[in-house]
Amino acid sequence: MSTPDVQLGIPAAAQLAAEEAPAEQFGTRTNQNEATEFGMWVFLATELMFFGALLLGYAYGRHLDPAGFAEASRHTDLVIGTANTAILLSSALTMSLAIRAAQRLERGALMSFLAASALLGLLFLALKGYEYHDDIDEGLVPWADFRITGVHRGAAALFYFLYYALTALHALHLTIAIIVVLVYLVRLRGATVAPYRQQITVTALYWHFVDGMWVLLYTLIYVASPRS
Amino acid sequence: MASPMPPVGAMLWTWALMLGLLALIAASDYLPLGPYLPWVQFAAAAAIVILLAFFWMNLATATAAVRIAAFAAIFFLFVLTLLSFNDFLTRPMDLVPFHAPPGVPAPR
Amino acid sequence: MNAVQRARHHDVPVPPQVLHPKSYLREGSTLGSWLTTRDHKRIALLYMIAITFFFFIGGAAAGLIRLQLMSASGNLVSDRTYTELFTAHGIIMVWFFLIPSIPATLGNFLVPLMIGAKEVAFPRLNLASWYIYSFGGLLVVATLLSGGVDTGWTFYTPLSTLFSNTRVILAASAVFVVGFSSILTGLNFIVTIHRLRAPGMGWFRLPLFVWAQYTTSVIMVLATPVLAMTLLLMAFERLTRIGIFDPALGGDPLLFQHLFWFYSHPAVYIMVLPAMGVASEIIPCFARKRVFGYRAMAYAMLGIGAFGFLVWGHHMFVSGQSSYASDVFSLLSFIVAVPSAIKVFNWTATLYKGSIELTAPMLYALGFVVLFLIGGLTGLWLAATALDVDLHDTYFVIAHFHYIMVGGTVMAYLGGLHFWWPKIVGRMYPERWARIAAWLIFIGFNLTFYPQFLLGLAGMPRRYHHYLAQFQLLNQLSSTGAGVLALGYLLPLIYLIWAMRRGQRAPDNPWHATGLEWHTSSPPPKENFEILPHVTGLPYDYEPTSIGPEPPHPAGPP
Repeated sequence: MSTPDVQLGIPAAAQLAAEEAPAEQFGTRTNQNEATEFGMWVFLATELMFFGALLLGYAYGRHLDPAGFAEASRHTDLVIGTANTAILLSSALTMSLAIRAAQRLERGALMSFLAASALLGLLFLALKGYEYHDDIDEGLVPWADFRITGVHRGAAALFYFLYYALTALHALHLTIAIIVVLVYLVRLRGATVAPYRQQITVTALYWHFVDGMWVLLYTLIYVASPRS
Repeated sequence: MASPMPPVGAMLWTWALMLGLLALIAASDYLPLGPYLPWVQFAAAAAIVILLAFFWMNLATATAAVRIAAFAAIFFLFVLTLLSFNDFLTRPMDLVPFHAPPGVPAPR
Repeated sequence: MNAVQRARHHDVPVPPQVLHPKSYLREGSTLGSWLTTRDHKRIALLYMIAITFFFFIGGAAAGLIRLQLMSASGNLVSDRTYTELFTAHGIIMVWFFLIPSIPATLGNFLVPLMIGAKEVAFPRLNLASWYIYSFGGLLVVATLLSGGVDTGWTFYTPLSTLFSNTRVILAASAVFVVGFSSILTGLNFIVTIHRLRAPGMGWFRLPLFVWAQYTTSVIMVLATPVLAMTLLLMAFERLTRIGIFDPALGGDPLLFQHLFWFYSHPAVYIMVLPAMGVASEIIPCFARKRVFGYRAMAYAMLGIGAFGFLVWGHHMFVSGQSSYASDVFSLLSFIVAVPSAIKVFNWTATLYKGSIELTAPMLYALGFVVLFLIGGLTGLWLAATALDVDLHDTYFVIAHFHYIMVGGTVMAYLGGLHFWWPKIVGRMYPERWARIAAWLIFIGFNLTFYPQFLLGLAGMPRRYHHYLAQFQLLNQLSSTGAGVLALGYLLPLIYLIWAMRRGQRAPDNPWHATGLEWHTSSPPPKENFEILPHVTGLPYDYEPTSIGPEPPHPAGPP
């Protein structure tokens, strides 16, 4: 907490003083901070259950026809999937570094790491879009000239339906997260860090949830079958 | 803001560990793991999520209420899966007339 | 002498003849000031107006259903209209009245007051949840106006995805939207109760109403998103013929039922737990006794909330679910009866040797206990797999869940409205009329739904627009009861509104109750308390002579 914000020339103590005005119902700033973080965790619990219905559908389909799900999984693009996972895990790193910078009131570092996270998120979305394009080209759309036929067609169709549903829902979440980060980037221009520290910490929780959810989706979608 | 983030070095190590686990998941498709394949994959994925949640989302130092919230969601997702599978897993062995599988004579 | 007279005569200062100068009702009277308010008390009133509107819409649908069933041949409305009527009745009453009823109105108003907080944790989110609710309400009105929906409130596939040609998607989107309002309310309450309790207000000093809201909120937050996703999948499958519920696509219709009831069974506890909370406030107050077994009551609510998630399969005993799964769900359903029974025993034990005063709120609360008991016990019949095969989809089920939802929740909601009306509007309701209404509702309710138990046992199936002639007498009794019930519901609508302007001025604590909400003015100021309370004792300190483990006097200056 000791590094002053050199860019704006405002000492840390003055910034912190500006932050110390909690909403009246909370009493103290600490209480407000912890309550807001707790609120975000409760929201993430809701989010997990929201994905939960789809995850149960996946578990049901894979249980019903494991070979069909394996067959379908073999058609996914492991390279893009793995690269995207690495990208999101890196964005989680930059987001964590952003929180650290926010806690230390380092405005320049904070903005750089937020921008890096947003860029990595956008890169993920771009690759995902490219992958969707490939999937369509390769006839992996169950409702339009589906490529996988034979006994596993039903399970494969179910797999690809869930693939699109889960990844699209995830992409929607990531898009929201990127927009929120961009909003804070705009707001931080010419402003001090302290009033935004809390909000950025809470945004980062959401960002990390989106990353963690992707790791789970990656494991369910891309590697559900032996390829050797 | 409840707890400070770990030092940069520790974060980089965590990140490297996550990428290592990711490499393990990606490679697992090509390893002769047999029936253990999904177990290895889910263990590695869970390890990544645990690293993420505990150290970058500060679950390790969070208040009890936060931990309860995180636990409750996972627990009730587990309940949803467990009790639904209680149905799915036992349905094939459940030979009652109104849903006997095709080809199996209904018991009298 | 009743409580009102007592308030008027002695031991309470004569209430001022003008509205308390700092009343929250005085903070602006324009429509804009109401529609942009962040005050939890005003948002509670906004919710109250909205849900009352939907209660009477849903009630009108029920009235038409009962009129249709007056005669066995059933020729008032067409079969399709009848199906749309009971679907509209179900959807509106479940999602637009019962789910938000007590939490969003009494809960919004009282939770911050009861825990000694100035506001809920996230006031803007609170207002947003009302707007989301209203948007969902517009969608459901649009559904009705554009021709209705005929799937029943359960939206079962494949009827909803393949066969119905009514407004399924519009109706499902209404439910989808309104779900987010209850998620946000739940989130707000959880954070409020965790973080905003007054100094000294430990978890086991919370009034049971707050415990009830807390448990309910947990269910709202964890179960509602599953319903939202399920309806999304259903709507998508209907639109595009792609999904996970149609066997032709590799799916399973029972998957829909599992997901649907994973929400919709706990939703019953969203409806009834807050009602239990209301009864737990009213009964000790008018028995002048500490609630019996306070901790057991709190743990029982948590137990009901947790076990409520484990029993959904008892709706699926005849669906083709594995009978082994049915056995497990049956056993778990019996277990959830244990904490429910603990609550009924403890309310009864609270009454024992109490100095009982049968005011209108108490009549409602006692009515709640009796009707909840009947509803709960018949639930055990239905949880028994063999018996359920016979009773499933008959009027027995209808009677059972109306005893819980209407007999339980609506009775408690009305009891709570009467009990806290002096606090909410600063004026007393007319006690005599309120007692008449309470009796009318109790009698009308039993006359409506008790015959339906008999009809169900005799084998009359639900959801039919006509029936065999031998069922006519019982159906006519039931329809007559519905008329009495309607009258009973209209009375409070009239006299509670009348009391807002013309009622006798209410003192701060007309019932000599002990909750923190009674330690502020009636109506409370915008910031709830002039001096923030400091809690030093247990709730329900109605026996000043008794020596509890902790000293009495729950509130006072710090």
